[in-house]
Amino acid sequence: MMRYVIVGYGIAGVSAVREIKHQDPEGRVVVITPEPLPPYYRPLITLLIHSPETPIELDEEDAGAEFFTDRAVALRPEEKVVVLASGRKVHYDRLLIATGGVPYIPPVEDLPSQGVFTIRNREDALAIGRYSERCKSAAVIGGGLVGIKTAEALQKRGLEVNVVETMEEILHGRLDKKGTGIIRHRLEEMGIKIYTTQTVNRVITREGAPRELILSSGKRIEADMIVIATGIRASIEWMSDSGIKVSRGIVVDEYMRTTIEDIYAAGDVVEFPDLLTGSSLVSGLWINALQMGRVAGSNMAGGSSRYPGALSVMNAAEIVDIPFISAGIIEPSNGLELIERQRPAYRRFIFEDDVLRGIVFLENVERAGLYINLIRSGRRLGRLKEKAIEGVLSYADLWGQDSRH
Amino acid sequence: MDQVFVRPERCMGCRSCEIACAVQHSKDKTLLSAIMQSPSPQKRLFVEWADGLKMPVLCRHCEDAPCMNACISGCLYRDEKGFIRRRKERCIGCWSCIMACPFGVIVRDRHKRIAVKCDRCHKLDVPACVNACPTKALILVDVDKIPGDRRKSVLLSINNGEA
Amino acid sequence: MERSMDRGTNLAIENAKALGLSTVWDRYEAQLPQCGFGETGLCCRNCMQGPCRISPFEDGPQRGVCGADADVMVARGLMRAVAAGTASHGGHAKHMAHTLLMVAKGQTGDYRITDTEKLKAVAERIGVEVNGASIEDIARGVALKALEEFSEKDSPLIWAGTTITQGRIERFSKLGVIPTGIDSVVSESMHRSTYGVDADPVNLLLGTIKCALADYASCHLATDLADILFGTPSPVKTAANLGVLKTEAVNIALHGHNPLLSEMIVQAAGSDDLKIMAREAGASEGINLVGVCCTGNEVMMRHGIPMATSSVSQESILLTGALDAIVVDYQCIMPALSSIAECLHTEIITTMPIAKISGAMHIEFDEAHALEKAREIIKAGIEAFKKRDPSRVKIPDISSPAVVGFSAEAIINALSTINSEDPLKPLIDNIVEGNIYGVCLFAGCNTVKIPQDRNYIAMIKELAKRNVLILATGCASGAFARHGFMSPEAVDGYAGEGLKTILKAIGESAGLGGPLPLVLHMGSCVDNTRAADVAVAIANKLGTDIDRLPVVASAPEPVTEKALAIGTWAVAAGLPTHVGVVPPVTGSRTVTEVLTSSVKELLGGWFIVEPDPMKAVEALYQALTERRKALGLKL
Repeated sequence: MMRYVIVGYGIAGVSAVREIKHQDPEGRVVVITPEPLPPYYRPLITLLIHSPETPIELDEEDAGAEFFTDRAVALRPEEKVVVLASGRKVHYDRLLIATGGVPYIPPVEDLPSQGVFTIRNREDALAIGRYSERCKSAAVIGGGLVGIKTAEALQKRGLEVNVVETMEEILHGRLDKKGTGIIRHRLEEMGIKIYTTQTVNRVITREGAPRELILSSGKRIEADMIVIATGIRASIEWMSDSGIKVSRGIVVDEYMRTTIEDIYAAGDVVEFPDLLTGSSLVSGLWINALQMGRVAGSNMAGGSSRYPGALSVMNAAEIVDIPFISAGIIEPSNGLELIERQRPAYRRFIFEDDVLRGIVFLENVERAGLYINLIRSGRRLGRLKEKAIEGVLSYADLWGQDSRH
Repeated sequence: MDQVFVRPERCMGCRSCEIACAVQHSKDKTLLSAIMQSPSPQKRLFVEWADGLKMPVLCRHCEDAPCMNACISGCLYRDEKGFIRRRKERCIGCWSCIMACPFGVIVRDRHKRIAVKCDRCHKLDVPACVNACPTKALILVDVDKIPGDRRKSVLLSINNGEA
Repeated sequence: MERSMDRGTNLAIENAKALGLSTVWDRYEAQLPQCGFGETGLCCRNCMQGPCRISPFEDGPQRGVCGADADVMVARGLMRAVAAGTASHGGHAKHMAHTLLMVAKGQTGDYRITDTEKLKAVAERIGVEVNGASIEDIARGVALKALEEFSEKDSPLIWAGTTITQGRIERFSKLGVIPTGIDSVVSESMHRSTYGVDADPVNLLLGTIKCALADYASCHLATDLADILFGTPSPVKTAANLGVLKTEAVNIALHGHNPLLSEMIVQAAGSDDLKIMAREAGASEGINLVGVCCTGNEVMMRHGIPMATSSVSQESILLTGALDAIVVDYQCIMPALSSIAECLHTEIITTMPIAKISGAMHIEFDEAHALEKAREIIKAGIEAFKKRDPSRVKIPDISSPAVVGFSAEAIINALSTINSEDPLKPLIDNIVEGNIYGVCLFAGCNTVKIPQDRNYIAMIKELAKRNVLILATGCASGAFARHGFMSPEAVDGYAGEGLKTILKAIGESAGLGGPLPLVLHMGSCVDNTRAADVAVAIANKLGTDIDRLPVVASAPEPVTEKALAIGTWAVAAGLPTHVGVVPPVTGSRTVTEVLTSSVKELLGGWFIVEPDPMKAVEALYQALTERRKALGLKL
């Protein structure tokens, strides 16, 4: 009987377990996770800041696995053993590393121990919500998607919110400049203060808690609490002695195999090439982690599935009542054509000849999936290009084009 | 399992299916009250066109449903009949499903921050759109009743409007 | 899809995009796909047991609730469309007749009899005593006879009976399709197509032809009376396309169909006090009138007022940002004008009690005080000019020269400079010799379903090359004028050798200082009977009938119910008649077969339904060839 060990129980781990149990119901599955069960929808945690009762649990009926609530601290491939913080050693026949990411914390002078949070787990979000009850103001360091969602949530709790971002724009890399500009404008209209191209030089504290931030421009902003949302790094320190090849994340092939036999990796912990550009990417996207976990699980149980790869830019969200979806290449470079439409809502298309390479849709996000499928397939649009740009492209067009050839 | 099949060469583009869909998703489920309802009910399928072609485009309740895979809030699920449905109260309006659906048939509710999609009229034996189609461009086929070895050819002939 | 072949229109569409306004093309796209039951004529809403749809496929319902099958349903629908077209031309004609009667009675000081020769000619033709009668008495006689045409008489319509060949009359009598009243046949058509009346598709089609002949009479009547009141057109130089708008003038567009109002505005625009008022408002070039659609044709051919655009692209003239007012009467006026005007300074001025548009200014037209109303309208245009935003003005610098106004009389006049004894002889000789291979009348509209003007351009180039003499009316005129085909210069570029020679010979002999234009402009869409008059004259002279002449007609981009009525009477007149958009009849095999084939045996003409312009040319050319062969003319 095969013994499968899964380290980490985010969506990559969850979907791997599902797949293993589906393909090898007899197999023994052991899950090691430091977080309490049940697993949950991680992208929802910012909602807990202002509505802690929001249901975010994944509805996993009996997963058919054994659970160790513990943390993995070392990996010894030569012994086929994972070492846990408790000292326990867990033997595996096949191992999946799905430990996700850990928050990156930028160097900031005088960062106090109290009133400063990162946001990665359910508990982080609940703690931020609880602490915010005693605060009038907050600073969110990092203007990415998580940072902005956190800022929105804190504002809903009635705090004066400041966002500090080192890049020129918020939501960097997720939207083009015009798109982020529109969202920034709306956020500012709602009273959230945004400081871009700035870093936090130091924190002035009172009774061990933050009071004021001094930015690189010299600007001082009041903040009774600080949330650090400057992104995540792959959680790989614990297995750094294992000999598995890592770069920004664990290097895997399309079967989600690492460089060491019987060890697989999936989710936010791995790096893989972008479908369009080939450049390496560490994704934080739910659906990517889900698919990787499933591919890994299937292959661990003796299958032969391939992960088709993903786009490094692929986002759907709604911020300050502005829905947006973006995917593929969103800034044109050599040989790419940029087409923008302002009406009825802002839309941007990046084409290479008649092949769609990227989109940004704001407000009117309908049929974005149809377009993203075109990006993924690299399909030549021919006469349909114009219809695509005018927003009247439909599945009927593709069906019609296919049935003619 | 019953599946809805589309036979584009029979589609007249009359949009009867769209109207029936909206009515079925209204409060009282009659045309008159649906027209009066405010906000007005939303359709979940779309009569689209291409050169020399008209066809309703609707949710396929995909086997490996990208919308459900992409859902980050536990809203979309597969029910006991195999239909991909919503737990409305869990939709947070993140639009991941719209990002994932390659058919472009999931839309935003016009008034609430919630995604709207076909529920295959799960309470009805025959979905409203199929019932409303005057030319049988939309038909319901019990795929399981077609012998496995003939399934492909039968389905192909259905799609070509021959059956 | 490409929207227009016209650069001016395309620039205006760009302006619309920039302003976030939708045009007819956007609205068409929003309608797609359009319902196939409507497209094929298989939808009936004539009673409240319906609506009924008949499936074009065998496994759907083949009859409506009442039992009407596809043939009956389609034939009823066509009859109702032709009745609506006839009602439109009838309304237009009746309006002219009432006004003529007011002139005769001295009830309006603003109108007068301009062409007394035509008055007398019409009076003699319809049996009104001319000798010893005053002009007023003749006018009164003609007007009363005209008004009698609308109700049911015990005799055929005079305007049909006296204007066609004996051969046609005999055919029509045999088929029982001679109408005895214009309004009465419209009424009869509505009656027989209502619930539970006529259910024989062939009988319904004959009724439709009868109604279309009433349309013919209406059109002829309207043209006759317009010429009597405002003068019979003769060649005049003008220009066409959006470039005829002027930045430094109060631009007022005249849109719709009836010359009664527009003639008054042209007259009022000439008055010094209004010109001064316009200059004082800042318009250094005063008042600039431009035409749109068929009102545009009317004032273009009588006064040389330039044609800004035609019906489908009517919004484009507003989108230049330079139009101060658009005055409309009736027919082909898009309700969309008022929503476009909401975002611009343009005043939309409706004038007819039966044609108001919400959001528009209404200045009700009154024949007794016509000039006063016209002045009021121009003043409203001057007021609107003051609100014009110069930063929004984008007039495409595009216009083409045109020579227009070839009424039947003008053509005979020109021909008589070659042979004053027998003016038709040079024309007939050239047809016999093959210098003119045949004649094609282009009529009808522009449609969103075809890139604007595409079919016109493709077809004229090919037909002119093959020495076919081209006549045009209505929005066909607009299309040809916009693209320069109505200029004498186009002859060298496009006409075949034979056609070139004869156009040059007539033009020079008539003292035009060059050839006739490549396309002879015969007026607005109500003026199609002008072309019929020429054909009738040739047939009568040769002692034959129209259905044997090498004459064809084409509506390559049709839209309206009026176009269906005209097309039907063109077929009845014996012309092979091309339509470039499939009319809603294809749901019935019987109706489609009768209209495109077996009607030929009955009347000599038939419908050629062909969206592809080059295939249409081949079909028309083949019809001309067959007729030339039958007459023993040179091939």
